[in-house]
Amino acid sequence: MLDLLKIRADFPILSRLLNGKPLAYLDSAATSQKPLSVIQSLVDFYSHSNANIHRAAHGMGNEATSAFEEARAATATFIGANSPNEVVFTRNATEAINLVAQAWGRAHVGPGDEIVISEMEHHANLVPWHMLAKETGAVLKFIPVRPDGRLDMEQAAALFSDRTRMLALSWVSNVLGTINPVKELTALAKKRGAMVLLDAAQAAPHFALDLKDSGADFAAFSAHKLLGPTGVGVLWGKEAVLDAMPPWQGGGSMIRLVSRDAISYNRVPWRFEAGTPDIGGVIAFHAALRYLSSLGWDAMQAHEKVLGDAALKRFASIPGFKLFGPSDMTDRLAVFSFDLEGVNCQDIGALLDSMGVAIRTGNHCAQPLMGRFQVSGMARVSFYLYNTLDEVERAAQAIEKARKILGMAAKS
Amino acid sequence: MTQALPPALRARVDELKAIDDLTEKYEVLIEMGRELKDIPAEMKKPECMVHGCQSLVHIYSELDANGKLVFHGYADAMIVNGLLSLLVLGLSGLTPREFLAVPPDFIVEAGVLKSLTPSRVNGFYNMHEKMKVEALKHAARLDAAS
Repeated sequence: MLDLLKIRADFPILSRLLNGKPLAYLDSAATSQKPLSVIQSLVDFYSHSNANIHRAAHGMGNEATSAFEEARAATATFIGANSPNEVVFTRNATEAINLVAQAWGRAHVGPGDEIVISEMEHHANLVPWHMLAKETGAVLKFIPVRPDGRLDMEQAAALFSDRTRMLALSWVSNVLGTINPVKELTALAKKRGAMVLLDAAQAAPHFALDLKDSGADFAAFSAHKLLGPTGVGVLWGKEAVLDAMPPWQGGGSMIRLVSRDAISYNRVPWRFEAGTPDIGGVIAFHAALRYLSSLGWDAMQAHEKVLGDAALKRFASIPGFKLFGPSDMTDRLAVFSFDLEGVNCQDIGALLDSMGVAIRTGNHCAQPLMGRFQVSGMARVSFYLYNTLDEVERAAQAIEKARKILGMAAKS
Repeated sequence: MTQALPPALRARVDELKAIDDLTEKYEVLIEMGRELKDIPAEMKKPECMVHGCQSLVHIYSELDANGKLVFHGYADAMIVNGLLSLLVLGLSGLTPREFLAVPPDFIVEAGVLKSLTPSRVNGFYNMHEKMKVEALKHAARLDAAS
């Protein structure tokens, strides 16, 4: 079991006030808060170890390079990669997906080829493929989302063809919280010889990815959603696949030899890391991985399930509360998007904020999904390892109060 | 040159300023928004739309016989509509030049927003910008006529 008191003491921001009220931070699906060990790691790096990596002639450069590469090795272990060479550091999950869409995509996708995504994709896993399709004459195909917030597996099976080159799919929906059956879908794609990229931005913070056993070729996620700093993303790719890919961005570090007429490129993963990366951020991400590992997945998942079960039950008692996504915790995470009948989600967000409850509202960078459910926006409450049952209740009471305020003021 | 807030706006700002609790401020703001009448369907057209707002907001204006601005507008979210009511009801009745001389930082003084930075969520900045464009248009027309 998680020691919530101790954990919450590790996150200094959780003891602040928001609009004069104790903060209930229920927006971790947007970005997680950071424990002291991560914050301290950034301070330590810039206080004692700051130097550029892979090039300095001095000892500090060696220290920084070692710490950076240790972070890569730790990331590889954390996500179940075969080797650190399968881990490319990017700015965020979005950049990781763009890297694949452009470096791999331009080399392998042509007119009439098909890219399969789903209706529930975050724009980060939609726009790069849309751009590639537009550029190459390929076709985007969307796996439909059922009314219960799960993918329509029957229709999905029919979408794959011998022209399918890529399945790019969110492992967990940032809106619906649905955990998608990625293994089954990966198998469908593989039968057709297609590549598979998993957008693991919402998955990586909550369960072990075991990527080498996933059947996928690529996965992408952002450090900031799993206790790490902003500015660091991870692209995982099978080494042989990465190795066969042409470079993407050009610059320092990604080359081996440069003359006026010819350039030879570095081996992976450095081939895809042009320029100075966020060294301090990557090293602090290592501290985040250490923190998560010290808690253990089992205890974290058990705690998040308790929060999720309680939230589902309590929210269902709020009149007019309409949940989008699965109504039980079997294949979902504790991310709850909802609508209150007749109320603009923006008003809910502002009122909850005024009560110290931080949530997100809007289209959640998933406009096609908003269209699928015929809403312009949703309010979203998302829980993480540091949240409490008390915060579930605070959210519910704040929603009830907002409903009352907005109902009383309802326009005639 | 800036000038004192018009009385209708001053009263609203003072009322909001007197409330410490943000939830209560919002309640009052929502009530203020109820004073705004919905605009005719034909005015909910792209030219009247305020861009950069999460909610759907329309604003348009006209000059009355005395050369004073009359603003109309409506938002589909209640708190934004309350903000809009401050602008529309508080700043109508001024000449375009008078309007342009009123800085929009009264919303910070009222304690509703912490800053005037553009925000998709509250839309205040963009709503005010839209009104500025309207005022400038009328001012140019008046200048050309004189």
